[in-house]
Amino acid sequence: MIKYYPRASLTLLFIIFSVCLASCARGNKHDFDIPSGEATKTLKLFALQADVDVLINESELEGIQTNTVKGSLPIETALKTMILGTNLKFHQDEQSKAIAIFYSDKK
Amino acid sequence: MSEIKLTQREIQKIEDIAVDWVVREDNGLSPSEEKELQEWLLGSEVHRQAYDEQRWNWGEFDRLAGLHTSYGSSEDPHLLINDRKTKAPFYVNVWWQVLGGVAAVVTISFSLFDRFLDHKHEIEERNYAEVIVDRIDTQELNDGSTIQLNRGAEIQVAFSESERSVSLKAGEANFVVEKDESRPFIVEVSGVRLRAVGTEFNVRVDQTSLDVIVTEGVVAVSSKNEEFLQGRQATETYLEVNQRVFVDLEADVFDPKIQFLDEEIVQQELIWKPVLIDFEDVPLTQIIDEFNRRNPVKMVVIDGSAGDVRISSMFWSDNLNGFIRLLESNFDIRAEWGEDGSIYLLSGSHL
Repeated sequence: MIKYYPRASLTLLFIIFSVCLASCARGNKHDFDIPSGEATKTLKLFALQADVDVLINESELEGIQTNTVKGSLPIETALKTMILGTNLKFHQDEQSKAIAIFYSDKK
Repeated sequence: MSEIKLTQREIQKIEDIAVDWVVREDNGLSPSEEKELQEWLLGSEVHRQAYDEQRWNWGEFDRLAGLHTSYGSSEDPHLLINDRKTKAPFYVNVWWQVLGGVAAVVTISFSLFDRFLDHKHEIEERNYAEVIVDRIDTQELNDGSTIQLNRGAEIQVAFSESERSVSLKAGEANFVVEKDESRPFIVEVSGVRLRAVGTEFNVRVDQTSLDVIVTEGVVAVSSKNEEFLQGRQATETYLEVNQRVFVDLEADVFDPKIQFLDEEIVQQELIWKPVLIDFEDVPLTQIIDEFNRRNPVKMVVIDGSAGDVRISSMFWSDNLNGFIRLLESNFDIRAEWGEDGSIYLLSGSHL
């Protein structure tokens, strides 16, 4: 087929490859819809929507407001957007992908 | 040079703009957007300072999360210069496309073909400590049924057109069987045969005994072991919800004993199945107690201050390893295996 219809064959193969790539990429994203608000509430909402294990250190969390996150995003991007501008940090366990979120005033 | 004096409102507005640029930049900027960013940065030293601070914060997230930064921070000197390379020769692009296409076809073929292969689940010989804190494995079969395998369990699946057959070689498994009256679901365990149509049941086997608990539907229990039957015809014993059958595999005769169970006892027997440990603002010791209820390996808090930290959690109960790693890396806690097989938790100040 490639010999007689080279362009059509290559286009078909390219489409198949793109579909595979798109489905793989989609697999790394989650749909988020988290309004800005108290970290004590919004971070648990994040855990539900990200479908990931989360531990949150409640020390000094009171009064911290997180940012709005909306859209289909990788988990790390969504969390970074939520806590940008606050003193919250996070660390993800590489093997299980579980995330710890905590307050840090270290620069 | 006169100092620029800004109101708090103006500073906040500049910081918001800087945050917006940092987020957009991480997702990739078009050439026109890059130009717009450079013009904004050049507009004022305050803009540059706000941008650098937010850029650093973003980079800190990546460092803590172990991720590489997704975008460089230096200006692109070729932004406004058209220095595009000439197109690669046609035959080079063709071969990359062919290679990508072949890889895609192979990937699709494998994922489709795998659904028709017999599944075989094998446990490698591993350190006992590693196995008992493994996560619970859930196998989804091609008929939609699922099997949750407790740590150390081993199964072999052989589906045909007339029968869905699973052999439980060792350990404990919980079966959720999709209804298919044309193909009975058969679990073979040490010469004992469990037949289900659309049910949920738990099976535990060791060298001397077999234990089956039904939580939904009906399971028929029989033996095809000639020695066990001792010349008698094989008959089926029917188990219903909250009923348990116990079979002594060392006995001379197949003699299943049925027991009726309270819901509480059923839940206790199936406590190994993963659940989400969902707590809000509680001492760490409370979360540890819940993990201990559901896992064969127990955590023990040696240092009282380690257990006092207040935590909210949404954590699957079988992710014990992940839980301990996060405690060690982010909560100033050190974990040590004890000779008794427990995990001892101390505050980091004990170091």
